[in-house]
Amino acid sequence: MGDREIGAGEGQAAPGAVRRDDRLSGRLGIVVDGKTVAALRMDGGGATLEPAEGPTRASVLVTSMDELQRMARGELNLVVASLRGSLSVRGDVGFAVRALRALEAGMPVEGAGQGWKAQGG
Amino acid sequence: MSSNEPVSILDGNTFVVSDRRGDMEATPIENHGLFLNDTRFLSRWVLTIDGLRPTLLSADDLAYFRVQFFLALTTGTIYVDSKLSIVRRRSVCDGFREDIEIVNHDRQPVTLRVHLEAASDFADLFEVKDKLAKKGELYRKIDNGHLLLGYRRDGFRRETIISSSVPAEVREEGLTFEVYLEPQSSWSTSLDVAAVFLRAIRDPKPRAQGHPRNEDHAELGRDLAKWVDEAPRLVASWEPLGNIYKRSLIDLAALRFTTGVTPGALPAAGLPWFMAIFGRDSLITSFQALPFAPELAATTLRTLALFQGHAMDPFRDEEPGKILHELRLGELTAFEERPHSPYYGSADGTMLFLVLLEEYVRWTGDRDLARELELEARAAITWIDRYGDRDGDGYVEYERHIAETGLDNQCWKDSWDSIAFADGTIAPTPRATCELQGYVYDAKVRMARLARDVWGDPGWASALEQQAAELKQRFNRDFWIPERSFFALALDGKKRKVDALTSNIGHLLWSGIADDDKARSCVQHLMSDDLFSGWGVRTMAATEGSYNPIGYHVGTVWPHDNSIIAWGLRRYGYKAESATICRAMLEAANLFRGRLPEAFGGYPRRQTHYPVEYPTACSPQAWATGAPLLFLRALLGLDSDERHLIVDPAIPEPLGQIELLDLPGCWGRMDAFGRARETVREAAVSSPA
Repeated sequence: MGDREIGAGEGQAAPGAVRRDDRLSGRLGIVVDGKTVAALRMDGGGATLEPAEGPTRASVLVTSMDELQRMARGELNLVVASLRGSLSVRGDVGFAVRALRALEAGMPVEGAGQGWKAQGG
Repeated sequence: MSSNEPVSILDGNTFVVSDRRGDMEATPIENHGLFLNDTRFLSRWVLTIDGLRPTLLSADDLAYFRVQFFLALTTGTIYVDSKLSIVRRRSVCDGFREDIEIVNHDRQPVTLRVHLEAASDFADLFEVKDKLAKKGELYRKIDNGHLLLGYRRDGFRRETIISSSVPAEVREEGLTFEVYLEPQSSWSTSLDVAAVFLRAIRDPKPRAQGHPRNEDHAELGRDLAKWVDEAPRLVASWEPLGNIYKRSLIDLAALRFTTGVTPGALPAAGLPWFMAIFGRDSLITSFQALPFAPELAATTLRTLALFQGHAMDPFRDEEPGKILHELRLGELTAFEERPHSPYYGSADGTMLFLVLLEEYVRWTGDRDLARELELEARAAITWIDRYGDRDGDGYVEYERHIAETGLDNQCWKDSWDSIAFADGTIAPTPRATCELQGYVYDAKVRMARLARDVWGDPGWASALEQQAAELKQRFNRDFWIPERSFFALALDGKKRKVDALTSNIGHLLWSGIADDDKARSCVQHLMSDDLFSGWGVRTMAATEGSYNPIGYHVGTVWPHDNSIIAWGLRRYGYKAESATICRAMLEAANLFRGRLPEAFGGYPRRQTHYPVEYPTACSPQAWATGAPLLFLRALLGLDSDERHLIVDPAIPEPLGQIELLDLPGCWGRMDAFGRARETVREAAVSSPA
């Protein structure tokens, strides 16, 4: 929805939106069109985009990297994306959903371009 | 069970609703079908033999996930015996499996044309309720001997695949079998009906689609036996109590479902419309069930924490720190025609989340969960102060952001007319209902304990205690109606006291926000003929302008409401009054064959030997299922100080002796005993002459 604000409410910081979460530790593979193209290393306070090689706790399957970035920007709701067939997860589903929710909440992603940033964030 | 009552079987959020012959014929008034993830995957499933519909002999609900229908092809006269009997055995699991067996009891062979008509409208549950038209494309095809029914709308694709264990003539409208039966012989087939979700993404390691398998059904049976076996054992001198207790356990087992995002299962809200994650319903049910199945609370808390709000989203009524109201997975949610992805339109879920967290830790001693959820608990407190209190007047109030899609009432009485003045005038929004303030008070007191004892933050604990004390003082001043001697139902948008007498004042006892002298007056009102029907406390007193004994939240009796009130009465020391409510509700449960419905009529007991059914009540409904468990807790006075099981029974004479054996908690397993000592107000529960 167009009037959604991530991490901010009526001009003020939204407590509880972007927060350090030590349960978020591990790598999340990004699978586009059946191929693992990258991974996000989650360290509780942020994420780093890095090459795909290496073990992952879970993988997120998307139709394109742009879709994932739209989710991270809060433009595409995770549940909506899943129901419409453009998002799925494998592996540790709890970890994957926690990671996606953190990204959706505006968790910063190092090593990524402007496409990951929330509007106004 | 009446001959017209549908038969439902379920597992998690998969359920199958048919008539008592086993047929499904969805119509605007018959909600038959196979439902999974809020979508109807089969809307028509009709068995005919030589063009005739078999006649029902009986239907056996063997377990919540399995049913048998005994049928016969009748002759139309009592003078000629039926020669053909039919048994349909159905069990649910990612769809359902149906075994059909036909027996020829005649001395002559017979040739039969057995036909299963199948169709699906792929309706979203909201479409079923609101009678909306589909926007996508329905299709049917025959694929490798299977009948495939499908629906597509952009990337949203759902299919139903129907297959038979024996060869069938498969056409787009169903399956047909030409059957030759020797005398005294039988024929059978197994039909698999699988619900399939199709995705646009390529998966390098696709999961198997959900065809039902025999071992799944066996596993469900073992799981139910284990669930019942692990629950505390009840020994009761009042015989119906055993049946009520067992019914509650089994229904609670049926209403559990797993989400895949957190380990374990949590309770869905109810069949048929509410087989989904709900904040308020799952939290209250988990609270009711805590002494019996504490693992439900842990899963509920973890799941709701994962979906805690983190953005300002008017469409979904989402705010940072807020606990969700409802998560749906159907087409209307997928296309954002409904905001349930998830929807956050309840003002009480966030406080109830905190209440349950502390109660769980105190009962089980599992402080690790409190440590795990500290972030969410702090965010929830922040939501209360920053977003729940919309106008900074010190009270949590609610008002939906989007009128077309949001809920007008975001308290548990969420129908449009529930928050009204004594004269029946609807209170304008934003509404600060009284029980919300009680929940805030309770949540802050409880979080102060966790802050001090678990999170090592005594400063925050003191601040929370001070806030709670100030809130209590303010509330007893601002909500009290001295001329009627009870608390206002709410403050409306103009800060006027909404002066209807309702059951909400009972929740204030549960939360502990009422001053003792005011609590005494509230108890007198709760037990008066105006509120107490003899079967239970009505949602609204019979004296009020909006009162209607069959009005959803304006006069009916809700079992979960009564369980909270009974537990609240115990908190303030009103043991006999609590016991009166427990006894009346358990007697009502007995008359409902052990299963309390979501709500029933508010007619006075002196007018009726039976509680009057509410026309569209959900059954089983989770917090009605949990109510007998909280009644048992109230009767035995069960509590925990995080070390010991506290037992303080107050049992009315007719209920005799109650024993609960092997209660799980921080003490391991312990037994609780109680026998009748209290004299309850017999006049209030007497039957009509």
